[in-house]
Amino acid sequence: MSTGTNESGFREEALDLLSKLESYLLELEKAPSNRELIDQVFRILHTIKGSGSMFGFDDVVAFVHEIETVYELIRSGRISVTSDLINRTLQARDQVRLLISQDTQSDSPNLSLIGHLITEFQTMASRASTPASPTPRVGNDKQASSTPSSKKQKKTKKADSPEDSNTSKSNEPPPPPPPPPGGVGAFTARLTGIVWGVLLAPVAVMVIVAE
Amino acid sequence: MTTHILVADDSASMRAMLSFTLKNAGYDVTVAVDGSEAIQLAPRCRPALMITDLNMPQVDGIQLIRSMRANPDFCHIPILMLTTESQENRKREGKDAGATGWLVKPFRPEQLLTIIKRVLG
Repeated sequence: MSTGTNESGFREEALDLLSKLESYLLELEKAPSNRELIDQVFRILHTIKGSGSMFGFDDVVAFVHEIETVYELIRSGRISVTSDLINRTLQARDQVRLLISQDTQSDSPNLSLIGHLITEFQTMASRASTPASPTPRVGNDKQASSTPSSKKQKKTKKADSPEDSNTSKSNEPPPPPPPPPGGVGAFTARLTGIVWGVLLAPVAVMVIVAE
Repeated sequence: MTTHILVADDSASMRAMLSFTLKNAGYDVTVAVDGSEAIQLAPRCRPALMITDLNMPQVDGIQLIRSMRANPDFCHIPILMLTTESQENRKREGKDAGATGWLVKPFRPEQLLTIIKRVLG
């Protein structure tokens, strides 16, 4: 069966969902305890991950899985929503959009940033999952990019403008530090077709519950 | 008489893929955008089998399964859940709610058809 139409259908749906995701994230930043918004964000991530896996968007699935894990922990009350988290999710959202988009005039995904974000989301999740950790915190405050100016900028400028992907300007958040080897290396390896995790092996499982 | 399958999924691309696959295999298909719509459509299309996603707005997959199992008209029809690998607890919930089985995404269309044939006997 040809999947061409399905792939383009997924792209269209995912890009629409990513637009909604941006709106929900900006609303969530103002109302960080809003359960409905948290559920909406989670559901969008989950849909992109689930449908993306069906249509062969393995890199998107791997990336979104890390974000979804954090939002699952938010849903269960183990992580709190902070401006820092929202900013990182918006950054991730922009990169997911670039991974999905086929627009040749738009930027390429910033693999370095994606690797860094993967590591950040993994760190958030592991901190929340570690019992010894005192108060679960989200993100890395040292790199917090939640200044009012950066937020305004996020809301007004086009999400996928060239500035978003790579370059650093004086009124923008500081660039991420060099990503740990796991993040970039792993994701780059994935892009070149090397399986780097159990998650990424697209193994279909069928189970029938005994009737 | 053609076997009728009701599909509930909030993802448009998944609905399109499932509908295409099932119709191509000769089934009649009705699609619902969430559990709430599936509950409304079920009495009209009288499905022989239901396929449902788990995470959906309004009424999710688990609630849909419970609702179907509580309805004498649909308490015995096979219901398949579509899940992701990270939803182990949701699978258990679905089984407890009365799901017949589940498929983990990603799956191939042929695998879906195989499992449907098995549950329909």
